Amino acid sequence: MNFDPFVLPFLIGMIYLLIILSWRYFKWLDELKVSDRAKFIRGIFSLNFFKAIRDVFAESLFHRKVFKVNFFLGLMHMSLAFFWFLLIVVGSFESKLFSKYPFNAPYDPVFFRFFEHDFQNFGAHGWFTFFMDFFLLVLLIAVGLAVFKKVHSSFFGLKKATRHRFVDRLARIFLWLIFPLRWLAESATAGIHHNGGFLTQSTGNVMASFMNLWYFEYPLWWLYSSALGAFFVILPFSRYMHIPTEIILIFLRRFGIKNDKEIKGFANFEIQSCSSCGICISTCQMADAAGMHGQQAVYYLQKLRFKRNFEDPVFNCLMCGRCNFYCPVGIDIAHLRDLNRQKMMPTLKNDHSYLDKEVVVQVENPVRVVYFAGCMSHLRPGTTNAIINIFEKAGVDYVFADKDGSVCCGRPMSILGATEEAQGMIKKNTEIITSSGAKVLVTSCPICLKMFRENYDLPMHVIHHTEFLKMLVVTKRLKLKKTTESFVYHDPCELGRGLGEYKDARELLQYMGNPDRTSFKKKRSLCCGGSLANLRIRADQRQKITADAFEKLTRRNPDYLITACPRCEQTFSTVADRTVMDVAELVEMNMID
Amino acid sequence: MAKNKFGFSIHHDRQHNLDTADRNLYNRIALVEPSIQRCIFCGGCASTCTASKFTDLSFRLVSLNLRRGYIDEVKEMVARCMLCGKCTMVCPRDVNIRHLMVLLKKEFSENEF
Amino acid sequence: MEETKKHVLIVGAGIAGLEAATHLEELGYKVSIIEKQQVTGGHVKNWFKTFPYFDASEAIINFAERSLSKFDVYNETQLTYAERNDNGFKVNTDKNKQFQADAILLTPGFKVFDAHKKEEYGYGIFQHVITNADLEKYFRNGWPERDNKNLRFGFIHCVGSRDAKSGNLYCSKVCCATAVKQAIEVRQHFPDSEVYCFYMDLRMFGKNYEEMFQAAQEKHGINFVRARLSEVNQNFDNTLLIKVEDTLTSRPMKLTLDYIVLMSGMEPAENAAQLSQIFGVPTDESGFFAPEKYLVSENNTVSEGVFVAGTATGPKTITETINDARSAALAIHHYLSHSRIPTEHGKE
Repeated sequence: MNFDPFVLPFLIGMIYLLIILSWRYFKWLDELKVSDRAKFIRGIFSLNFFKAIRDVFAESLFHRKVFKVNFFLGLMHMSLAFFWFLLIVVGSFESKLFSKYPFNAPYDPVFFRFFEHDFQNFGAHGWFTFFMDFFLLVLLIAVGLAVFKKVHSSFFGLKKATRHRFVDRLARIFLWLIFPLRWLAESATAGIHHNGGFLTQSTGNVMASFMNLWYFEYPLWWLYSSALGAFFVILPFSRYMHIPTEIILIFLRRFGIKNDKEIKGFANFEIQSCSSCGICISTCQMADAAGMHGQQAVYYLQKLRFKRNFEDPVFNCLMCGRCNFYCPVGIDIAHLRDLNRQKMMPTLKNDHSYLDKEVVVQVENPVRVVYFAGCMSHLRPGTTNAIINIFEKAGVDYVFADKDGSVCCGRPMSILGATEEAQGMIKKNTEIITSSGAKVLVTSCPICLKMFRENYDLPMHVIHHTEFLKMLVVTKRLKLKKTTESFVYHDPCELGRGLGEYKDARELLQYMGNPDRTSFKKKRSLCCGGSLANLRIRADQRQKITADAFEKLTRRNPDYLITACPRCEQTFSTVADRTVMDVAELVEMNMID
Repeated sequence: MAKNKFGFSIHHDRQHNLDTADRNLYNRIALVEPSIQRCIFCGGCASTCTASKFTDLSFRLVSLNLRRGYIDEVKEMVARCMLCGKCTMVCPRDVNIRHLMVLLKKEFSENEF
Repeated sequence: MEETKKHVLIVGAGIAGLEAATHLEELGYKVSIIEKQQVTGGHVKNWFKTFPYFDASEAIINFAERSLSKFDVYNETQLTYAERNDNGFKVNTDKNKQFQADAILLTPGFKVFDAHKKEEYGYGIFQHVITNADLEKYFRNGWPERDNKNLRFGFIHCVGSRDAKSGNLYCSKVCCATAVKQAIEVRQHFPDSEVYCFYMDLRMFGKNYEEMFQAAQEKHGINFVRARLSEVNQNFDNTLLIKVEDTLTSRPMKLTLDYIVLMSGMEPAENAAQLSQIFGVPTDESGFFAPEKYLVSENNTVSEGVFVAGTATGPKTITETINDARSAALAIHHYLSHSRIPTEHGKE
């Protein structure tokens, strides 16, 4: 068996890492719900197992999602991940093929060139050295790109890089040292024993020409082993924990295991899968437009993991969902933040007894459709008026539930973490809405819509007015003509990323014209900045976000900015230099007999 | 030249006494959310308030009472707020009313006044 | 040998531009004015009566246009381009007319805040919600047909001014006095009407304004309510229902109105940004022109040879505008005659 004391740092580091990982993973798997554990067992023996393997290749190795953000960023991460993977796999194969023994020491492939010098009877030697050197070359370029990224992060599509913890920066140094040290160590050996490939052999020859390789070879291998060992030891306490954890996360997701109501078990896999890549900073409008730092997902997860004060990231967030969409690991950050909000917001002593005492529900003849405008919509009478006029024209059998003023749906309270305290409002509104006898609840506010769907138990269809109006057009109860003005459509956060509804508004708009092309659409849409989810943000900070989003949306100079949320409509109108209106208002303008 | 000891004291003095008014809560809240300081008491918030249709709730009054030290009145009103946010949306001075309401609600939940 | 007169080009033929032109012409300069509308007179031309003496706006216009024949006015003409040359400025317009000027005076005036932006007040949505500008038109041209008995009017102060949500933090200064004036005019026109003014503050700063306010209360029975309106609702019969907080009694209050008049504030003129860029005159945070030095030198700008006057630098009353225009004419005269009056102590 090959052995030399210099393999010890690597070996000890590797064993240490495996113990820590096993300990953590078993603990977290143990925290899973019983039903999730059953899913896990079933999943291993299902087709999803292979789908998960495919996902691991696509995301952990090829970093497909990172390529979507920026080509060079993806290239850098992919080169490092995939080619290190190849180095390990092909190197293991090389080592086992050479020794004709399938079970050799774990460090044999790693330090292969040091131990094996004679390849006369190993025909594949040339192929292996070529590929191994090629992989090493790509890795060296990748490290070079990584160093370049530190100096010029904008080249990689990142407006501002993550502020890393000291431990993370130390771990990164170890990581960056591994491949250059491997290169130097293998080259030194190649210089002496001529067992190198196109890269290592040439380097070795150059080195031999001006230094005494017999002197330097051994220390270089010690350094290489130490760099690896150090990296393994520090990995579980650093951002690189994401390397093994992300893999497990992918499998769990494929097996159908999802977020739960507590931050343990599955959530721990998510939190420690964060690689601190910083994509969430670039895509966060609070950082980009308002220069606010420290609240972004990466910092929230960092603080959550290392038990620092994470109150600010939890509450000082628009909950727009953009970081969810852009995260290459697919962490459901919004859900984690929401869990923390429910946990951290103290029970607020409300007194909503007046709802029962003062609000007397009057039941009339049942109608087909109950329309609930919501608090925000009352500040946009253009929208509510338009909807009522459309209903009248199309002969809809409706009642305007909150014509004289709403009882709040409760989501503004719930989204701050006080869902329990909103029960009084939920009860009253349920009473009001169900007493209408309607089969369909139509609302013009996506915030209310999300609340009705997720926290209410209403015995009827609950839809947004864009879906209802589209239905009216499709069933020919409403006819629309084309408009001569140009417009761009803004997907509201709550309706789009929040509820997954993008099509109805667009299909409705298609009857009237073609919306301007914009890259900020559907899941990539911007937040207007007016989100109720953020309690702490200052007015001037919000204004920067709104102005920036407005400028980005109206680049093609449309006549109108159209949206489907009264909050977005009102927020944009405080900075707009052109008309901002709801889809319903455009429909009202273009109704024909 | 004896001093005249005639006079009277007031049983329920109706005057605001700014010398003794307890501005402690107001000062603490203003540190966390400074925008309360620019309130001009126009009443736009109270006018649009969702709850004010059904019950007594006026952030304008809350803002004033905090400054005059009438904490009991503040406590009663604050409990009725539904946190809908309309007040914050119409305030001409950009006072972050909703945040202030949450801060006050938290204050009264945590410390028994 | 007669010297050729120096040429001053004025942009905007409102009362500021006209008054400055009158004085510059008298001082011996050749004056040209370009005006984007069909007629001169600016906004004042569209008004009926002025505060606080209820003089006719027409009288003000007649005064401003008293020397109109002595200078060249180019209506329906807009400035498109200007550049400096050795002899001052070369200016192009959209009507293929070019000018060579020794000095420029910018008096583009103001723009009325577009009340559509305050959608919660229902302008453009509910029939009887109008602005102060619309009301002046009714006074001039007559009221639309309707049952004019026992009408209830509500004047809403500070629409588009002192309002972070409208994007304008400043006070438009003249709307309070305008509201009181219009309230009195409504009471005079409809003797059986009831008029309310909903204000945050009442800015009665000028000579005789406070007296006008008192007369409004005493003689005309106008009701002043300290409240800020936040939403308007429409009843089935097209009357308007509002709810406010009566801040002085600290209670909510509702009432039905037949007309709501929104006191829309002053904003910088539509072409202010363009002129600012062309002539290198900076604007302040609100978009009005920033003069060379606030308080003591508000007609000069940091751009040599370019002067400003009137509401282009900020909201003003008619009197202030006229005075400002005269001050600008004098400043231009000093500039063009190479006067040696120092602008600061010890400086020339």
